[in-house]
Amino acid sequence: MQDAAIQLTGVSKTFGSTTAVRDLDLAVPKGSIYGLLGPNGAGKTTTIRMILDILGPDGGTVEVLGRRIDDELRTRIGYLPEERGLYQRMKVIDQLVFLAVLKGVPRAEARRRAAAWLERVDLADRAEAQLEELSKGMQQKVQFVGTILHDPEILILDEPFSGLDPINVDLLKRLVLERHEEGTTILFSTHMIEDAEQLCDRVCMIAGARKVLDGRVSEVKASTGRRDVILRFEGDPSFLDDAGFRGELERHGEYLEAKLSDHADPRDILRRAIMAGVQVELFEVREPTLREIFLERAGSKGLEVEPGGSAAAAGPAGRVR
Amino acid sequence: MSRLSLARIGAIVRREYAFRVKNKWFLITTFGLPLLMVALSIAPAWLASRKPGGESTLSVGVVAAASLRDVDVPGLIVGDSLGISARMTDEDPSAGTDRLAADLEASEFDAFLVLGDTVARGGEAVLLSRSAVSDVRRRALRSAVRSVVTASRLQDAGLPADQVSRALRAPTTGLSVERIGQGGVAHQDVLAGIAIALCFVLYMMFIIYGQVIVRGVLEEKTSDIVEVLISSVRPSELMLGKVVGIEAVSLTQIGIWAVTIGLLSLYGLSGAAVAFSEAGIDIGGFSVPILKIGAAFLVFFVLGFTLYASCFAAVGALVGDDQQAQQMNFPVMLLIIVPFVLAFSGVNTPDAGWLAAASLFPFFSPILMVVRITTGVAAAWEVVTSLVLVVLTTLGVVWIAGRIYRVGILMKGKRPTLPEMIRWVRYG
Repeated sequence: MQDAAIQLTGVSKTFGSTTAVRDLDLAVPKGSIYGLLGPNGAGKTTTIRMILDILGPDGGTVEVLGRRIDDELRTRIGYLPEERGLYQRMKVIDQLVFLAVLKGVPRAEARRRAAAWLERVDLADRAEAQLEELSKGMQQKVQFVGTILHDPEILILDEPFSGLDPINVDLLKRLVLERHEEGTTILFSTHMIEDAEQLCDRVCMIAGARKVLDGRVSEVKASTGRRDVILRFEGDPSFLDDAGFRGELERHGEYLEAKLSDHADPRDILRRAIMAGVQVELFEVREPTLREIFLERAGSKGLEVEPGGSAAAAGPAGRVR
Repeated sequence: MSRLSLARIGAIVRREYAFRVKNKWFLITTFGLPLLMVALSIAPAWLASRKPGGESTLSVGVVAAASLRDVDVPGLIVGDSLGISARMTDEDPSAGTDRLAADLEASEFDAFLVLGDTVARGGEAVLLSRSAVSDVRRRALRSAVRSVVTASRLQDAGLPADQVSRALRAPTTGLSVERIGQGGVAHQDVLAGIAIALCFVLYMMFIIYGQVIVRGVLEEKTSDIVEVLISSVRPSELMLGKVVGIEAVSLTQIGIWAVTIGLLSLYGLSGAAVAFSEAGIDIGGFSVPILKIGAAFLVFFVLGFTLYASCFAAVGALVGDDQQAQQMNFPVMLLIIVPFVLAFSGVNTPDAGWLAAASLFPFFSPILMVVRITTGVAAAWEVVTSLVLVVLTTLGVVWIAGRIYRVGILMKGKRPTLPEMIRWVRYG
């Protein structure tokens, strides 16, 4: 791809006997919001660390804005790590200025921008507070501000919404979308597929160190060539069996919800439901969600790694830059 | 290897410095260390000078052979200030230890000083005591025995007994040793005292700030701050910034002390003079080459700090928690503790060949060279050689520590083995 902000070609990384990433190709177009999806331990964080040159790949190449990462490129990237990385006993404002200066922003300018941003995220009155005095959500906002103070062209966010309350998730999502509108390329990883579905225009799904899906969200959905019928109702579900439908049946409060794929004409299902005398609460024909596609592609294998924790925890046996 | 960025290192240095100088530990160590030092340097002298604390008086019964009967033994025991009193007894030294011990039990004495017939010919005197006798008292009694032997011999040669005891009861005098050097005459004891004080400062600063560095690195590592930092700076820049920043903090502290001592001495109240006069050493009238000593201290402090701090930074990067840090710390601490211990014995014999040799070992030089330069025994070529060796070693250690640091800092979980570490250094 000509105008890729980030390009990975055949990248692999192993830690001892664990393969964290296997032969991964990835291209993040400039200006896109790109979601890196997968369960915990799938290799998302390792991939991000390789993009940032925190880890060196065992094989393959990583290019950012068309070349191998260097000191100058590093100042054009903003990185929000999964584990929050701030000094507990340091003033919020000092912390932000420090991070921006490391990225090459002049001190006075860094201070001005930090103050303005704290104002925007409702933390102006906490500027002089020690970080440890702030709630987790506030700390996350500070961390995010620290990531964008130097006005990066590329923003890499590792699980930016985890552990946040809904209000702050919404605030952060708004800020992310705002950066996107200003032309920043955004790559973020998440195991919350719904977040990606809401924000991203492109996604890459990895499971068990392999890529299982990649492309525009709309294309990925269309590629399944499938529509689901969702029927939520109260009453005896046996009419479904009689009609020979097979699908998932879930209980939602007083209602049962049947998800039926591709079997027949949706109108036929609705007609049979009415004839069976069940009370229909909801009837919907829709494209499959990313989650469903993911589960289909990755299978249960994709989710088995879930409790395994981050693969990077094994320690870098290989080379680091 | 591409160039490191001074701007980024500067930002790290600035953060470390601002954070640590504002910290309450800075205040505590700035004021606590001098107090501790003064206490440690004065306490032994003070304890030795006063009557042995809690110790009761020691009444000694002199058991002298017939041949020594004419000597005024009690008069030769100079022990009033040590709480020793002595009287002659009628006991017979040849009676045997068991008999004398039984008699001692029955008597009002605490101890018998047994001077047998052979003492005058170099035989051993015996102190038979109910309880332990302190070192200072033993020394007083030993010198009394020597006087007894001298007195006995003089009397045998025909001098009257009263003249002999008068002559031997002359007041005790001290001995002040003065060395002739480039800076003129300087008092050996004063120089030794200064050397020990400087050693102590070096030792404390290296150890304390070494721990500060280990903790600082560990904090960044365990809280994943390092992830953010490494996406902006290189690990070697981070390590250097940290070492230099904390070094600047320690130099600030030393600056505060130097200015304080300077101000005090303006009022004729030099901290050193106070300590030394308390310790019974007269500093008045002797010139101390302050500039030379100060320069040596500063140069070796900066080099030594960088050397040890880099080692400690590597340790911090290698370990995963405080407990592991304690274990891995030890080898580095030994590099500081060993020369410190050597300095204490070396300061009494600064000319010793072993001290000269040890002071050229780069890891020992920062402490031992300061001792040798302060006591005025280091030759110019030795100073230059050790400087070159220390600078080279420091550069090498910074390089190796940097490589260990940049791999270790991102590593979690178990501690690496030695072969793994060597691999990092070679291929890192």
